[in-house]
Amino acid sequence: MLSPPAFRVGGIPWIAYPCRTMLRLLISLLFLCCIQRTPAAETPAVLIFDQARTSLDRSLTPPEHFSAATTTLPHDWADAVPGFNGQRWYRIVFDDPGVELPAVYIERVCSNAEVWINGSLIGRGGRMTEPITHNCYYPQLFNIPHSVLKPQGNRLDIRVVGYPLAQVSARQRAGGLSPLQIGPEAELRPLHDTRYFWNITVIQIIGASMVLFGGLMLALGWGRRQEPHFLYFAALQLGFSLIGLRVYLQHLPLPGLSIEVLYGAIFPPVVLAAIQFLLHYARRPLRWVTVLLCAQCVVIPLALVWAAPDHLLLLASVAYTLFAAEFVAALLYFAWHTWREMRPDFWLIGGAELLAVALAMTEIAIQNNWLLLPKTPLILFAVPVVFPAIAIRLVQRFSATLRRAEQINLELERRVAEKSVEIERNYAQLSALRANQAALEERQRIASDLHDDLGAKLVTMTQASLYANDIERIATLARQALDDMRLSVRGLTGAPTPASEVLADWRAETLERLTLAGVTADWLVNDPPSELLLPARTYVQLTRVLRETISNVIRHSGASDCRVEIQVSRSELQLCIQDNGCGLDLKKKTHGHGLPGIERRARVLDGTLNIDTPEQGGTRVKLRVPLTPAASENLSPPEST
Amino acid sequence: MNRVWILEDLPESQAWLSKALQAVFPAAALTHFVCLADALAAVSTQPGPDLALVDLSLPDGSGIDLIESLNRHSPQTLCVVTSIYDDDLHLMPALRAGAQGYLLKDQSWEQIAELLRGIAEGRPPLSPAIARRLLAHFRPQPQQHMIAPLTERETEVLSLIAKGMTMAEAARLLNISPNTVAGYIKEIYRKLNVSSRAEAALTARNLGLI
Repeated sequence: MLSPPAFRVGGIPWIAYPCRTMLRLLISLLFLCCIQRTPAAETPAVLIFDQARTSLDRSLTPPEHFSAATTTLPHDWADAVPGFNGQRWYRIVFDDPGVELPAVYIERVCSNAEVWINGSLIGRGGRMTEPITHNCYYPQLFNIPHSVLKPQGNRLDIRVVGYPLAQVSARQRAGGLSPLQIGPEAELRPLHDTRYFWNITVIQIIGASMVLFGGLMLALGWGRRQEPHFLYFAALQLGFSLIGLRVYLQHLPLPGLSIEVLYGAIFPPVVLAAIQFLLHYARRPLRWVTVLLCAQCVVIPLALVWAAPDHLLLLASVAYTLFAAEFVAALLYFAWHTWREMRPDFWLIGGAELLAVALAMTEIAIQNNWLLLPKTPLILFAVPVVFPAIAIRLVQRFSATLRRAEQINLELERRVAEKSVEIERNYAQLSALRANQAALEERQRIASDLHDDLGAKLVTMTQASLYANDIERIATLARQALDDMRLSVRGLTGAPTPASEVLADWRAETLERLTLAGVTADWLVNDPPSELLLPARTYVQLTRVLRETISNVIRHSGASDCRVEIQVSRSELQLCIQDNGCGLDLKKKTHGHGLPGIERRARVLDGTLNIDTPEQGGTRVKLRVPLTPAASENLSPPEST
Repeated sequence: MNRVWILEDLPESQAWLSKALQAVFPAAALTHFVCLADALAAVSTQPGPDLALVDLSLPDGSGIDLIESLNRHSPQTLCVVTSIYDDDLHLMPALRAGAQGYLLKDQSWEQIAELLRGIAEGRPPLSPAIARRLLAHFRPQPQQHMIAPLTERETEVLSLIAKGMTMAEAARLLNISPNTVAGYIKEIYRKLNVSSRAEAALTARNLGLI
């Protein structure tokens, strides 16, 4: 039986020492060729057989008749017996090597083999009928039990099943048998393990790292879909890990031919990813290229199906050459643009890709049998060099972009902060300006109030004292002046007053004055809207109008009744004062009635004043003042403590 | 009213007030002070007056100091503020210090006489603005023990006056006599003074002054 080498390298479980394994792998890669040429076969205890007799007998046990002539090993069916398909027996005769634990080592047998000694089956590599186990890349080592050995003339029969070259898509997978080695297991085991490591383990490691890198790139690219080359690179890597599967996947539930077609179908998407990566990386995606590559993903598999079984290799070779040509073209296109626009990327990516191209060319040469090189999947060895280089560059670019974005962000924040400071400064200046403006306007208003009210009264007082010597009138004027001053002070210092409080103050004052004067008062006021505020100025001016009108009623009208009506809404205040006195002769402008003052105040408040004498007698003063929201806007209600 | 003090720096106003006082209390002995220092000195050297008319803005300070001093040393003295401002901002501090009324100096002396008579007879003046201030002052506050809370009736009187009702109207609305209303108002002034002093003491204690 095939004794599995497990995943052991140099006696160390590699999975426990991934770093060491990778290091060893990389160093080993540099000496790939040297190591491959180190033939352990020179050990004298090992017998090497490069001649065998063959039989085409279809029996499942060693046949009696073999050809008389010998065949040279390695026996590559592709060269020796082109088109041969099915099973073939090989026989060598050997003497007991007389060693402890003898074994037979087959470096390469494709697709699978059974080993018989003296008519006894001693091992096989898996299924010998379709789906045949795919062991082309797996070296085979079988221990020979002493019990079946004779001192001399032992017959070693090997049954090989395989496919003709035409039915596979790669030369490495065409049927064939390498030279056989018989000797002590201790000598052959290292040979087997080394071959196993290079053919299988390395590819598995590469596949795993591709999945890892690809996953990483996928995550990176998913977050930056505006730069699709990350995603294409991820697809490329994942595609490559799929390609690697063909090397070490032994048991598939499909006939070899179907596997080959399926396998061939993997390549076009990988090529698409590779070329799209290059184009997007150079920031020069071409639409027609994308369309063609997508078409290729459909056409090539169909062509493979059509070509199978007999022209599979031919078509695969054509396809591989086509892929290589496409890739080279894309690479040249890439080089052309990166050389002009992104020099560092030209060297790194270009160099890595060039290596990949070189390896691909070599691979094509191997497939066409132009070059005689070991049948290892050479292109896959390019992967650990090419992809990490690209990946590192991509991550580097990614972080550079990120750094730039952060810098821009910082710069932006700084500028926003500067702007904010500037705006705040401007705003402060503006408010200061506005406050100054408001203060100026207020000062002008006060000045005009003082001038119009106090000033006029003081002038009158001066004249009255000098020329008329009317002491009573002077005293009245002085009291009015004081009243004005009090109100002015309130207008200066006052915050807006709730309308309800204003009405309460007016009521108390008006009723007290009228009652003292012996006039029956009638106070009719609606409830003002709650929270309505009267600006100090409106309050002061209206208070003066009310006060002077009541003074007129008391002093001049001779009325016995006075009715005060006030209607307050949010938009308007209406004041109506009506008495049953002698009425006012509007044509005769009498002194001391303060009508000009009332008119001026109405004007100041944008109000409409209406003074008339109704038919039933008396005087009626009507004032309507708008209460614009702007008038009560700026200040909060007064504190109530 | 046997002894009356007048703290007033303007001679004309002094004469004016004297004239009104003589009309109301013909028998009273008037003492004039023109500065705060003199008046304060008199508090400790002379027996307190029955009535004191106190101007607020004096060359050497505020008349409020005299009101406080009199309140301490001569609680029976009736302090009345004489001012040219009738607004609550000017008057509240004086009322808190213990003044029991106020009058405006530019009123006719008949009016002044009437007001003085009213005050002397226990009918102190009360404007809506001051009533509102008083209401705010006595508004029950959570977690604060009110030293001299207002009774329900006192609060009702204050509320009506704050709405612009006259005392007579308030009396009618509450179905009590005008004199009772005046009594309530007097009591409210007293409580204002008591609570203000308690407040001041509390503040001082909180500040670590006593």
